Amino acid sequence: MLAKLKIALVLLIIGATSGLLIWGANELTVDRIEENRERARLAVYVDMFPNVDLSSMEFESIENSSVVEKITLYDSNGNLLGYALRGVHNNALGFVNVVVGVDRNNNIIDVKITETANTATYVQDLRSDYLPNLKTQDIRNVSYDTSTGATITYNSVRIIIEDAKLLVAGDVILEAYQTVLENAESYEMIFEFSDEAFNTEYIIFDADENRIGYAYHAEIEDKPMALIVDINDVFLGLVGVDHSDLDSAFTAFDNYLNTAIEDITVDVSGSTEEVIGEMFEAVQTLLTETFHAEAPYLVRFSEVFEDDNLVGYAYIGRASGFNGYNIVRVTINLDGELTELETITSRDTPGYYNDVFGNFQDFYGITELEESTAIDVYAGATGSGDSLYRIVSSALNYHNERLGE
Amino acid sequence: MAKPVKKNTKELTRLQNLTKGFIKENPIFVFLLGMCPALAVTSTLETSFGMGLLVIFVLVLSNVVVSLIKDLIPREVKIPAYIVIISTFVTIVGMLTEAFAPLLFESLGIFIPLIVVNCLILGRAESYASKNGVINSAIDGLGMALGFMFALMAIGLVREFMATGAIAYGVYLPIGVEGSIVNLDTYLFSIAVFSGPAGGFIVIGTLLAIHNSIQISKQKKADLARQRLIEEKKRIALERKQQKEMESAGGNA
Repeated sequence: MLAKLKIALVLLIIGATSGLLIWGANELTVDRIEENRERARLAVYVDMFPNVDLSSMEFESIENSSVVEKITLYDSNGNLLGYALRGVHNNALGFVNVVVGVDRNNNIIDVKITETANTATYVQDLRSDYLPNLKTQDIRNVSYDTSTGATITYNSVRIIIEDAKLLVAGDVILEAYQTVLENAESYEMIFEFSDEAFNTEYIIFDADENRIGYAYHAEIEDKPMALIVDINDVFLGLVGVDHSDLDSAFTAFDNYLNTAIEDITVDVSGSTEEVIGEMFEAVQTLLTETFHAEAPYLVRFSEVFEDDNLVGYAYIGRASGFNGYNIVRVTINLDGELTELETITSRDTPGYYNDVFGNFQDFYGITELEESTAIDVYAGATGSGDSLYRIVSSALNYHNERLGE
Repeated sequence: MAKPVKKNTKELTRLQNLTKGFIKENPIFVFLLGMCPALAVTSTLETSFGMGLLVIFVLVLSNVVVSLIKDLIPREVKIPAYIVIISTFVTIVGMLTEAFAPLLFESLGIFIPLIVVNCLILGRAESYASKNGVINSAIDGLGMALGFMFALMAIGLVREFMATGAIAYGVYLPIGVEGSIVNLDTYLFSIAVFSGPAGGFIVIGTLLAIHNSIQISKQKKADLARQRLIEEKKRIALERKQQKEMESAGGNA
């Protein structure tokens, strides 16, 4: 018994002495360690902005965004150097912490992945081969690499950059819309056009997420602008985006305000005005020949004729796949049967997408599509399969609702 | 008549105790102890040196403390007690490194806490410090740790030079200046595999082979010299015997 007590006493003394020594070392070093950690945390900002005055940095916490902190950086003379935006995004592989450095002219200085639980090899590839491509780009119009081999991590970086854009450059698109639609609160890009006089189509929503209008964007003389109509295709106005100054040319179209776009005959003069007029007429053609589709994942639809006889409707749908949006035209006859599928744009890996698209073409003749049926043909391409299912089922449902009215 | 006490001719001097770990009983090249940090932290000379310094601190102090309290620790709990002592010094050295050499701390990473389970340290505590006095234990710890550090630095020197064509300093240790001792054009000389684990194995294996071949060669020479000495003694003894026989044969005549 005494022997056991002796053992316990010896271990207790050794343990207590160890604890005391460690406590003492901690007291000596805790402040310095904290200072080093803070310096390491700030090192990423110093790396991006070598002239930064660390004592004058302004930190602002951000909510409801993947960007959690916005840091405004100044030099020792108090001049604004730019912004560092620290973002966190959780994807299927874990968290990704990113810092985006933007100078005061909205150019990206650098994008760094500071910490992540994603696969180290892929992250290293991004750091060395793809993130440097983002440097010097205008954050308001970033061109992303389409194939990086690290899609999930790169998507997280892209989400953070897009949120950073709104905080740094301001939501210039929403500001433009609000000059014409005061109650505009949000928007969504629903279509990109490759061979038209305008390049993108947006839906504009109010605070309750009701559609209140549509916008068609173009670049006239390298200046971004938008043509805005309400939900009934009444022309509401032309606006310059990001403070581009085309107002003097826009005045030529003031006579057409609050007129249904299909009733407008464009007659303007002046070189800039005529270019805008061509864009106007292209939008007019689109809105005359097609109709807005007010259903999830559907953009618009048009009538399909054979020998001047209406035989069905073609619905253009857009849904996110694995790498980005897929846009598909779904043709349905008057009996509600699926007759044709055509891919307009796909951002998914062709090998995977084409396999599952081919399987969906076996559904010709159906009038509705259950998810349990569709899932059988995903062929290991869940992202692509999901996007096709959403588009096709939405088109079939919307078609049946419309023709049932 | 009392039997004369046989002197222990194998007892080392303090200098021999200090230097035995450099070559003859080198922890890495002879005992093959601490191979994990030997592979992991020797990608540069500076990190090798840094790890060596930390091991010196831990080994010397833990040897001293173990030697001081060796008679107080019951036999049943001596290993757990040694581990507590060693881990205390490892924790302290970790904090000091993070405070005063943060880049080295970041570079060595998990291998600082892993010093606790370095066989060299527990081995010396058990085999030497628990059986010898404080001064000798301290000298033994210093010698073995210096040998460990020199071995790490030899590996680090080769690996860094082969991988980068340069030997840098001031990158991890806060010495106030940063530069390189050697710096060849890396386009001409840079074999990246040496900065990775494969390169570590190659370099350690090569240095081990060189070390062993030198030791074997020395041993052979020593054996040869001893053999010659024995034969010479035999020859002399035989000559003496023959001379005595001749003298006694001449006397009889």
